[in-house]
Amino acid sequence: MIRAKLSKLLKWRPQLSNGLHYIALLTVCATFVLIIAGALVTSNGAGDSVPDWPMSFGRWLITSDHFIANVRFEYSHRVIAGSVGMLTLILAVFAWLRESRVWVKRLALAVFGLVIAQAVIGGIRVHYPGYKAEIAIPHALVAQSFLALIVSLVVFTSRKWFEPIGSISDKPALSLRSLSAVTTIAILVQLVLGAGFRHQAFGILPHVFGAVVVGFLVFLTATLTLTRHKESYLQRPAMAVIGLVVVQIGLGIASYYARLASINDPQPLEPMVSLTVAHVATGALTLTAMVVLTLRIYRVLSPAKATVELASREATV
Amino acid sequence: MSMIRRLCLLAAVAVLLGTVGCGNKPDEGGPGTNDNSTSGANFKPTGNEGTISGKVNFNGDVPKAKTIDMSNDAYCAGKHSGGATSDAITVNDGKFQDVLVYIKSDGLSKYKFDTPSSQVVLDQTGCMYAPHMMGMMTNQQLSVKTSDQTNHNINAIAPNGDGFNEAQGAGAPDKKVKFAREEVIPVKCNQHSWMKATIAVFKHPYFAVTGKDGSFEFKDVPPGTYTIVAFHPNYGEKTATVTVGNKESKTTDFTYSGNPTQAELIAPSGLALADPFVISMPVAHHH
Repeated sequence: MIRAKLSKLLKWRPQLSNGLHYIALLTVCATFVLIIAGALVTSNGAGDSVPDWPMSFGRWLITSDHFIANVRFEYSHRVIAGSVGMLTLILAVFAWLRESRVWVKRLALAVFGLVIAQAVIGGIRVHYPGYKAEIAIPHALVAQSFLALIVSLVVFTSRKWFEPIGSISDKPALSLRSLSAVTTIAILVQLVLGAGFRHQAFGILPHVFGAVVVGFLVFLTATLTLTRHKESYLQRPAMAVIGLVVVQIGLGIASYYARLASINDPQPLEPMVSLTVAHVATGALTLTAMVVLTLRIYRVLSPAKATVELASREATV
Repeated sequence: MSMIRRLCLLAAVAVLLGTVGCGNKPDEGGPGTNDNSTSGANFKPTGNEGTISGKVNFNGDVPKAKTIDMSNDAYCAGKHSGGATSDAITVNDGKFQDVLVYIKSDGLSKYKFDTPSSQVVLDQTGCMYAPHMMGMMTNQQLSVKTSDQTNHNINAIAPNGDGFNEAQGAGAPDKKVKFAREEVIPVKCNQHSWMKATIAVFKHPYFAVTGKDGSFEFKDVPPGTYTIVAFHPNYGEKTATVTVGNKESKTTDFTYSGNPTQAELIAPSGLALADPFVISMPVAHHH
């Protein structure tokens, strides 16, 4: 009997794996905390406070006399990163065992690969403190890409994703599918430009230009979504992303002026630190909302061109 | 660093992914490698040498010293019971302290100068660097010590691969290091982000950091025409051209004024800087 139960358990392959969804959701939350922890490291100038890697001061678990000053930020960042890595491993294993869609399995594995790459880039950053800007930028890019992919997994494993949805045709003029994809990429690029400015790889101008472009694209995408489609499935993320961008622009201006005002401070101080961290966190949330919106648009809307061709064929018949 | 080099580095990160275990020092020119030798002969005083001296003045209102928050380390805070403030900009009766003054090396290229056998010491005391501006000669020994009963990390970012970042706990042995080339090296403790120092390395002995009276003096200067540079991390540099004849004593003064104009440490004339993005902010002293 036990054997039969075990056999049944091993053969269990549900189409909808709630467990995978919740693990992905937990990983997204942990990643968000990790991004905040990373922003605290950068904003407090704590990036090189622990000179070795992968261990910290030659140990995996440091003692309380080491856990002081800026080491608190750097070591916490490492511990949270380790937790995210473990969660991602669990996610990948769970997806491999329980998920029936091969592409979701591969995506979960790719995400795990990305978290490993991110850890190694972080390690290189520690070992080469002289090249902090050059290494910190890819570190930020991989961090945000990782977040986007984990958010994608949450969407792909959500209950709503499996529900039958009537196909709605996208419009050929200003296709929401294309526009949302471009906007998502623009937000990702803008987050990297922000990291470049924070790590002093370049000045503020690229980030300001990026803010104008992203602001316009988000406004356009969200407005078109809200005016063309009344489904809450699309309206909610559209409203979220536009609200987050408004908050984000305000935080960006505030954190920049706080940085200017603190330029001769002997150390990173408030309110510059909190404003910068809030700006980074809101940036991550904006990307999250935009990824959700984009994937839902792709789920709900059929390609405009295909629809036109189909309509044309039907007319011919 | 050029844009091309930066782009190459960005591309190289992918390649570096598998190389973390290689260590943290590029192969090029480690400590002890001497590329600062000139084509000239060893300098031997002839008795005709002159002297260049002067003062660095500061006119106008001196920016108010900024308060330092040491609350993240109880030991550090306990060392400054009256509170700590930045002394990056220290002016005493119009005399500017802690300004680096030196002769640009190109005027001395026909000479080689012996490396002093004495060592220079950078101390971490009361969670601050003492001194926070210092000069030394190439291949001279620098000893970084800690007098504190807390942990520090010494992050020296040198342009030619001589840099290092090492932890130094209470009672740890001194970190001994030599720098092979003329360069300016920002030193930071990232555990206590207010701790910053600047080390300038020269091929010759004609450098000084102004004291409380803002004065400097170079003795035994071979006759010739030189560019004298005064450099302050927050106020940038000023230069003067001085010609010294046989046994002459020349005086040249520098005057700074106004508000700090630089948030980032730039390379002073004739010296290389590892990373133009390294912020050199004020350092601290206690009341």
